[in-house]
Amino acid sequence: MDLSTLNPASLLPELILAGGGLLVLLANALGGRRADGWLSPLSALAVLAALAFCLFPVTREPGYFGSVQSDPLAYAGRTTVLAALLLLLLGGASYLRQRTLPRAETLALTLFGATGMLALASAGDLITLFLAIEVLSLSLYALAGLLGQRTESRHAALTYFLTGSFASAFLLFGLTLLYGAAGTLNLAELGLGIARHGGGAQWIALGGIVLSLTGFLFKVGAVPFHSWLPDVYTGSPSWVTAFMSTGAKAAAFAGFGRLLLPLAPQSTAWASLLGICAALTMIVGNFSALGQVNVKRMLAFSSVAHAGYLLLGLQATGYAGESLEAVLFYLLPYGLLNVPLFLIAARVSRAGGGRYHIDDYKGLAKRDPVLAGLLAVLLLGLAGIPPLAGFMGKLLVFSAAVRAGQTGLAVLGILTSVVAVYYYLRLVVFAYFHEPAPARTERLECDRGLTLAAGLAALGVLVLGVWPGLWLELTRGIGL
Amino acid sequence: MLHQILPLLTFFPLAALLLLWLIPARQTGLLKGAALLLSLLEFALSIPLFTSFDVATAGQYQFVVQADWLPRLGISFHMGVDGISLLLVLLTTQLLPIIILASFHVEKALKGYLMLFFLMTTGMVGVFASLDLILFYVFWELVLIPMYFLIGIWGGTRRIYAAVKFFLYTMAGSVLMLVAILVIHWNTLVPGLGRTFDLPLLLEHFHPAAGTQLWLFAAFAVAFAIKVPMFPLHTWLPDAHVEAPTGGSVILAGVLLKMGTYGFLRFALPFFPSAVQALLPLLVGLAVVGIVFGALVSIVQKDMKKLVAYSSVSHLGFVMLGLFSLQTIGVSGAVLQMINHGLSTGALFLAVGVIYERRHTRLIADFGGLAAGMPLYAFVLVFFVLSSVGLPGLNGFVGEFMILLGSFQSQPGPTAIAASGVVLGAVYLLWMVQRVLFGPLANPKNQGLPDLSRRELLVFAPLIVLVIWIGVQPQPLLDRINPAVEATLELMRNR
Repeated sequence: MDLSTLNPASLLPELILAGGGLLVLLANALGGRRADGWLSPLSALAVLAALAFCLFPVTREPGYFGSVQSDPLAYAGRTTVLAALLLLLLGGASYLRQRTLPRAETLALTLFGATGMLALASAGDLITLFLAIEVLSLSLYALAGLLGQRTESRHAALTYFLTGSFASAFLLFGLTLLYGAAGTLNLAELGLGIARHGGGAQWIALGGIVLSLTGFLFKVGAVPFHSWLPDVYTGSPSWVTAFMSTGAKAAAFAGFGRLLLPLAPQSTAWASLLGICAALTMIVGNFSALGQVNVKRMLAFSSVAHAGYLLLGLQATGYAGESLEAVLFYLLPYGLLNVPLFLIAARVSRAGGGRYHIDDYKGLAKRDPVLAGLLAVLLLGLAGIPPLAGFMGKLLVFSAAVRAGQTGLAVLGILTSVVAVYYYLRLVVFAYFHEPAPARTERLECDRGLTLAAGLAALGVLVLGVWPGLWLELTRGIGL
Repeated sequence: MLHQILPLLTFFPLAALLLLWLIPARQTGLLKGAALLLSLLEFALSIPLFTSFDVATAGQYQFVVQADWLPRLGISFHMGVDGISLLLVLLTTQLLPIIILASFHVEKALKGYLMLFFLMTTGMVGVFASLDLILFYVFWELVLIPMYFLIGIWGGTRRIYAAVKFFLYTMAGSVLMLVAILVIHWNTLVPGLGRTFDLPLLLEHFHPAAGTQLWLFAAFAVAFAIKVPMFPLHTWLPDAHVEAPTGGSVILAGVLLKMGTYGFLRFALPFFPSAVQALLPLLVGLAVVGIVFGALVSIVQKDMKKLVAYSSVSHLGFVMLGLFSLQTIGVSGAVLQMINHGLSTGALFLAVGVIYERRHTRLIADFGGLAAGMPLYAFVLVFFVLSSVGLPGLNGFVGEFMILLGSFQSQPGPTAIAASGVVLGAVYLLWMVQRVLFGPLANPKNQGLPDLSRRELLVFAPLIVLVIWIGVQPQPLLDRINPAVEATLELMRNR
């Protein structure tokens, strides 16, 4: 077999990340403590290289006989994951230094997890899809438990592992049924395959879709399969939570978007199911976040809520494939905003005793004006206030829903987003409208990396909000 | 340059904001000077808008700019002003330097305070100039952020409650408008162009069924009614006004509330004429209730600022009544009254701010006999109270008279009740003046209060000039308003 027909260049970003992860482990094994300072830059270099090959792809052809895609969907999904990862490496550098996290393992596992995420976004067949999910999941299970000396971290890892494997089982069974119904592993041919087999295959396929969607909803933490999420997000190290809530989510939505697209003409039953889940997720996520005093937990529920908005867009792909573009747009600002927010939460909490309590934010505007300003911008972005890109994401998703005739869902979504404004603004209220607690008036030491990462994210979200066309044009053609 | 004047007016304040940002916060003198200069520059830039505006075609959009923004989604950067929005833009730009000048005494984080007003100006000018629904919505929401911080940081004791209430209340109202905008977008196919958010094109091609129209109108109307605010959606206003710093109150009463009435006139009425007709009794009824309720509540207020705030509910009720008369004279009167209210009530908030600064109280009972020691202040307060109650010769009279005249033709009954609001308005405002300015100077703390400084006189002077000018010679304004109003009503009839 000629190697060039495999087109290995299509897998280049994934290969670079995996290679980077191995290099990190190797450097740690050979260099010991001396290499410690080099691990973060090495990882960042790998991510930058992967991002470069992702933004300027060597090939636009699929590879490995269609198992790896290089289409706009892969482009958008990969870029989003890598952008979030880059912010994480930049903003979390000092977090890694100060925490008792084993640095080499954390970085290597993060890179391996990212490899899985990229592969998920570009998966062209059922097996690659499943493998990618397992690669990213296993890395995340291990990452969640990295602070093993703390009970919450152990608890998080175990919960995540158990529910995650459960979800994987559902998923695998669902994919098997789909394969049986369609007679092909290739995602693009699923729809045709099912149609060719006619009658009975339709029902088997529907079962397959429902089961694999169950697995998917578990993974992205959508209601009613979300109960693991708050504990896992709160208990895991913030570094990991930031990564889970952005990269994993982006990859999952890209991967499942690709899975669902060819099924749209067959049946919109799954779209109705997703619509119900979207409604529940938006309601439960937002209202649960409302009463939280633990900021990390609040952000956890907020990411449940955002899964709801993404599902709202995803269900609309059942009616018009282009709606997937809205989902992919939404994911980029969401990733850019969430990563620094979790890291800021860790930073503020460290200065206040590590409880992630909202009281730690009192008077933050006086204690670290720059960080507080960025925090406010990021929160307003997540709340979907124009002209930040969070607004454009919401606009596109709601527009997709209205286009699909789901005006009721759009109304529900937009009303719950007002609830979200309340709890996002609550942090701004604490940071700006409250005076610092008497015992904590000293200025916070500036965390340069984190400030830079948050600044870049804020700038990115502003630019994307004012010129959304920049990103929309790059990812043009998703879902067509 | 003239054809780019609207984007310039919209984004110059942003550039000004960045300039101010570069000035170190400790250099307060430089900050004040620069802010005043930049705000005057913004105002100066807006003068050609008035002078070059073609009165003969005041019913059409002028200074139009249209550029691609998101062509694939049908969103464009489309701006233009007709006679109505022209005056509202000018109201905004002329209030800016006045507010900046009035804010020089602010000690807490002056730099941020000044910067927020420039950010707000961008939003407000953008709202009045936008001719694309998404562009409009972006500016509409943008205004919330600076106001939220103004109330929350520089406000009074219950500032946090007021700021959050303001933000959530107005946001909750306007998000449904966004869904309605999307529904309009997906239900309109412009021949040869496809889907669009362009206002003039949508007005031409959007023809909804009566049932849909009702729902869509409701979504728009709630958003605008909260902003106005119309009874019973006014409850955020007294809180926001009382807690906001003086400058915030001025901009809130002066311009922000007009965004609501403007929204009704520009969007809700021409888009949904049959829904307006169907709901007219309700709308007129709420306007009348607002007039009387606002006036009655004002009478019993103990706090001057709260009194002025509730008077806004009453006065804006008149504006709504004028709009719902659907007669040229009534609607034109309503537009004129928007401007008048912006000037007079803005000035009243400034006047309340003047004595609050000196005495740190706004309770009417704490004052009395101020006229003896502060003759200039007494003149200013009496002057703007008279302009507010509609003394012939001053601005308020013209607007109120036109509104009642127009409204009487279509709604004689409600108008008769509403007219009582004029009398009640005189009662609560003049009674307040009597208790604050006249009588014996009983409270020793009020003795020796300094009269208006030269800076404060400078704050009030332009407003006094405008109030007299509009009162004596409203024709130049009406020349611009009338054709635009007629065009709007024509649009309603043709749909």
